[in-house]
Amino acid sequence: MGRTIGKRLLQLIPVLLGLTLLVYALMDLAPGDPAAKRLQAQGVAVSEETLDAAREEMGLNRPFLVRYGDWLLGVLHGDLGTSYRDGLPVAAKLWKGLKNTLVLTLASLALSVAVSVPLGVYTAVRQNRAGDYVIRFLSFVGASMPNFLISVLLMYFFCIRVKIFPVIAKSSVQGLFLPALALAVPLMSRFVRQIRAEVLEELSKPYVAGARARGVKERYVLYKNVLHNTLSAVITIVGLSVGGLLGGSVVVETIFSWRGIGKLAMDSITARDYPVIQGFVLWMAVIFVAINLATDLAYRALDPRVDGLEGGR
Amino acid sequence: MNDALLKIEDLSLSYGGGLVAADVTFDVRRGETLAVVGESGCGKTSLLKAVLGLDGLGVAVESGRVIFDGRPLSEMPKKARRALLGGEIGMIFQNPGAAFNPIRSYKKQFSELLKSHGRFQGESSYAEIRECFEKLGLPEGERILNSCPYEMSGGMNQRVAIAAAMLLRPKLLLMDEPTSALDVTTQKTVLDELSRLKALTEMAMILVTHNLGAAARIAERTAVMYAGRLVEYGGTQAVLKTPCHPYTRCLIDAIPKLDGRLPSGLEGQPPLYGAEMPGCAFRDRCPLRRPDCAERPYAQEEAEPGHFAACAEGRI
Amino acid sequence: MMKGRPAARAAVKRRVWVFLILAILLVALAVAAPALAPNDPNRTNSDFMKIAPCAQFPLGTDKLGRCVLSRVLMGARTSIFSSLCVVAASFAFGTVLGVLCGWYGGALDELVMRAVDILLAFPQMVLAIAVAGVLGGSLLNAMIAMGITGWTLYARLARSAVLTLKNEPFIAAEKLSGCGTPRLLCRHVLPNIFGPLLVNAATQIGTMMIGIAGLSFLGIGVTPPQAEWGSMINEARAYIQLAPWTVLAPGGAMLITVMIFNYLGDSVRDLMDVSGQSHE
Repeated sequence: MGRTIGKRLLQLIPVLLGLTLLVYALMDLAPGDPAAKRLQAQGVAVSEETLDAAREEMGLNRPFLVRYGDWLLGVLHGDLGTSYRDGLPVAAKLWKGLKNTLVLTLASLALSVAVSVPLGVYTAVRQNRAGDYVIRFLSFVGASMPNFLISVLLMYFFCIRVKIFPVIAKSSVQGLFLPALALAVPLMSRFVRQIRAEVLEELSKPYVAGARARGVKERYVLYKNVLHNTLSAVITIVGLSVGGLLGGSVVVETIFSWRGIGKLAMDSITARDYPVIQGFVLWMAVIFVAINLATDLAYRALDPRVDGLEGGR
Repeated sequence: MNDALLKIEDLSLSYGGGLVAADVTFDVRRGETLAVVGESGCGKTSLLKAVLGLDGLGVAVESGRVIFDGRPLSEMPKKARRALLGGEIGMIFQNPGAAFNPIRSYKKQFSELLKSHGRFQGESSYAEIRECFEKLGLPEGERILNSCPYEMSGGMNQRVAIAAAMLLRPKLLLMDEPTSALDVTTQKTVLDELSRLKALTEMAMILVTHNLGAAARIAERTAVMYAGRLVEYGGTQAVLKTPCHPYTRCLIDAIPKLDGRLPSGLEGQPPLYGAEMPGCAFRDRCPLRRPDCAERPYAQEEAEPGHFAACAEGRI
Repeated sequence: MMKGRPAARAAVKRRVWVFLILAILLVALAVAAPALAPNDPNRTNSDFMKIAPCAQFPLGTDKLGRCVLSRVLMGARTSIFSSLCVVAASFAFGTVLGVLCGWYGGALDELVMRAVDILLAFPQMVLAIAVAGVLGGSLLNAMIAMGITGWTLYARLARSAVLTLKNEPFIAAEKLSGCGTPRLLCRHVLPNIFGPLLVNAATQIGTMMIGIAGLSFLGIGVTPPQAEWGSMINEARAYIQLAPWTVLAPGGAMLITVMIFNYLGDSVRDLMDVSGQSHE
């Protein structure tokens, strides 16, 4: 296992490097003059002198690779630059937002798993009966709804019409519920169908017939054996949805005014605060890569038959 | 005293939309082993599935009855039928690695098994299991318990499955080609274990196989099936040494003999859903066919006491 | 799973047809939108602001007095065409690249697969938001933003399919009989790898649609006053209490459209599975 981890980390290095290069190039390629943007974001008048001064200060006159190298060094030391808007260090701003986003993400994941695992098992065991069809249809609807629509509708019904929740989410459990739900709905919908498929496939395996033929009680078959074997699939599914959650948080946080990293990113995009956008994308990517690795390792740990061989590539 | 534990009466079965067995009648007595032999697709596996009665195996009873221990199985409620599984009727499957959960230890699976039958008593149960293993000649019982099926060979897994059956002591043990997936040496080991099982318990067994040698070894009576019908049925020695039905004769002639005679093969394939055909389904491949075989209705005739055949042309 | 494959296959085929026809109807609707719209979608009307559905405005009007139904119809045009465009472009680009990588291997393969790894290291929407945000709001930029990662799965699928196919005896046979490489690729390789690629394309349409609408909702996609479902919902959410139809109409239209394409994608995937292209 240790060897696998080491191998994977080694393979990640070129990816991480390429990733940072892409992020940096992205911001560099943005139309417009970064010096002008910085001045505009700060509200300073743009003129020849101010532009020249800003360019000099920002080191924009150096070649691309040098600037990239410089930035990368800074990143490795935890320095993500300073915000154009208020000059504060980007890393600190992002960190504050990240904590809130993590809370939101974990809450919606917990909610999704808690709802979808029982529903997924239920629909598999009661395959093709009425309950199965209804739940499957509802999950299809939920999976086809964009998260911004769900958020808007939730806000409408629960904040305005029925007034249970506040319109602007405070950082509390009450404020957390709706945005977590909004993020959770598309997730739950996908999970239920995937878990159903996994359980169905597991139920069709010969050992299930074998156990039943030996008179093993159904609850042992279901909970100890089938569910256990699908656990690795559940973990994979959860791990794979992190990417969607990270992206979805931008929309949901904006609508519910949840002060997470997504809202910060959106505000920065509106204000053309490029260092923050840059830091945001970088962090999201690194987190994403880390979680994918963790998911992969967890999957291997759960299924003892999977060895360290690479599959597919 | 030696009355039938299992009675099959005019049983017709369908699977996947066609008739796979028709008018099957036989019985199995307590403590007796019946071998059911025939080519692939003759309906012998469907027969076992029908007796087992597990949902989702795809076999449907079209007509006839299965009576176990005096109780007609088709009239029993589902719950009662499921309660028979394991404790009264047990089954050994063809694929040894697949009958148990491949990635969980045998220890855990055996304890669940015993708990399900209300017989789990902690450490003493594990001792009981190890004893079973020993009696059947399985070495290193403790190591087996701590292993998972995927770590063990097919032969070992099959023997553990047989040990599980012994543990539960069902009255009737169904075996679906238990040795087909194994190599020849392992086959012998498994058959040895089955013989030991027979000696140690009073279990009635149905051994479905296409290996006449296995039948000869452990079965008191043998039934031969072709295209869903029972074509011959009687004491194993009688059926194998003095067969009546031409098909049985062909099966025996197909076995290589030690005196240097070459086996004579049988051309062609059995018809799919042959039970639906009028007349004798074997007529297209039968070396002794007569013109009236196409209209001949299916009927078991008693050639000798206890020895039935659907056609006696094969007698020398 | 039920045995009896011919029956299952026929049922799945029917489903594919049903949803394919529905999808084509949607596309037709989108094409005919200008003709079907009862009013000018961009025409503002200070006399008729936030009016509930009535005869003149079947789905009511928004805050600027524009006809919601007309805007929903024009929005259908934008959403459906842009998603189909992105999917088609991703499909073409990704498949070609993947086939070349799988066939020739070597440096090209290494380079492209590394690029894929790097692109896939980003959560798709995060990257799309950043790209669209940085490039500026417009439909084209939104499409580019979604397309940047869209082609990657096609490349991977095509590549692995070609790798398995390369060793098939019939390919060697064709080569021996003098079949040139381009012909070999087009005539013999491509038709055999279509299955999973098609499934991917069908399921991607819904994702692209939601993605582009999401970007427009955030203000970094389609710019107003162009009618687009995402931006319509964004504009209307401030006064959803007063005029719920302004959100419900585009929302409902979007939901139905995405559902139809998702059902289509699902049926196509089921068809491929039933045809025996499953992975056991």
